[in-house]
Amino acid sequence: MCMPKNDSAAIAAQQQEQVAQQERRRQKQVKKGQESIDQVFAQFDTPFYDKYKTDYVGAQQPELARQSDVAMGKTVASLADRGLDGSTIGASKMGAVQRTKTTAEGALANEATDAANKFRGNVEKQKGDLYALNQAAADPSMIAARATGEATALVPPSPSPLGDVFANTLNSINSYQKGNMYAPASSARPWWSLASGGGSGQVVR
Amino acid sequence: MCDPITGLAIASTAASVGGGLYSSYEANNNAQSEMLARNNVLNSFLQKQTAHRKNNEAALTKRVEDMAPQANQQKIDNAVAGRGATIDATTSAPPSDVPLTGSAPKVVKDTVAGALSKAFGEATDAAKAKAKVSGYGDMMLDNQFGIGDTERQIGTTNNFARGEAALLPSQQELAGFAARKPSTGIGQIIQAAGQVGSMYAGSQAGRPGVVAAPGAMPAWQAPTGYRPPAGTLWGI
Repeated sequence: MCMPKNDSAAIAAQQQEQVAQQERRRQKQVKKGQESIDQVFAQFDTPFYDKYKTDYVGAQQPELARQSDVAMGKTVASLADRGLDGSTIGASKMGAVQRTKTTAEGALANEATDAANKFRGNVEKQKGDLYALNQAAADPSMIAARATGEATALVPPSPSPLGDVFANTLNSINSYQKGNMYAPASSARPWWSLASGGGSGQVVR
Repeated sequence: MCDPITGLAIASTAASVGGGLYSSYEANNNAQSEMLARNNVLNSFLQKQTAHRKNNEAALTKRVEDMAPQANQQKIDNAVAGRGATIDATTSAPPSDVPLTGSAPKVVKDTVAGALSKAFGEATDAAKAKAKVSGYGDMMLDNQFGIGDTERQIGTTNNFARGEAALLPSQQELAGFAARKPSTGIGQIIQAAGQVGSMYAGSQAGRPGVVAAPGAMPAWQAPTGYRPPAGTLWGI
């Protein structure tokens, strides 16, 4: 007996396989895109953030050292001027400068770690966004290019200007000097100052 | 014994019934193989979904384990140690030669050196104490990054699961269609032949010359004009 050939069933089976294959291909592409993202973002590892921290500190440290040298010099000079450089008060004042310096360095170190954490947060967010995009697009070549672009465009948090770190510590010394400068018969008065402090002037009405 | 027409009628009826039965047998077989094909697709889908679920479970378990109290404490310790190392690398100890004139007596120099060293130690300790507090934040942040990573993993697996789930109805439909076999037509042919035979037997039953078998049909049931031959049961 002549049977009709079951063409439509064969077509249906073929279509079923095609659809399944397409989904497999999509999943493969998503995985490939993910690998590209992971590969690009692999550079952001612990040594990278450690180096960033070192650089962050390095960007501030020279200025801090300079300010510290100036502050210590001023303090020693001021103490010596008053003959207090060998005194307990003098040692305490110098200790205060040292304390301010070390406190600033410690704060800088902690700030560097916080900045590295913030930077890592930005990197992770960028990575997450790319993962989401990759799942939607399933286009590995586009994702690879995008990942490279995003990774290079990442801006790390930069240190804020240091400011006058020793202002408070030197406050008393500066005040003393100012006061001394304008005090009558002060030894701190510059030589060009005409007024003796005794004052012979008078107010003319 | 029965006459040929009666025999034909009986055979035709049997053929009709048999053909019908064969047709429904074929239809049942078809429906069964279609359901089987649909079930196969469903089973394969469920297996994949189970694998996805296991992947997600493993990822989640790993994350939860990574956030266990001991693991968190370890993270805090590591963070504090890391911050401490950065502090140690950043802070510079006071110089051994104190910033005094060379003529200053040793006792004075020692006093100043002691004051500087004390200030340095205290300030370093204060920075490290702050680092200890920050260690908790570091641990939380690390966990947050870990959760983000797990979220990405699970997100990808769920994306695959959703993709497969979206295809399931069409895959089942296509599998069912592919499993469907066209009817051989044998049942219908037999049934049709039986119907034709029955019709023929029915048309021949009342015609003159057609002798009904004895006892085939009582006279009162016979069509008009039918005379059962004499000597038969109803012809008397």
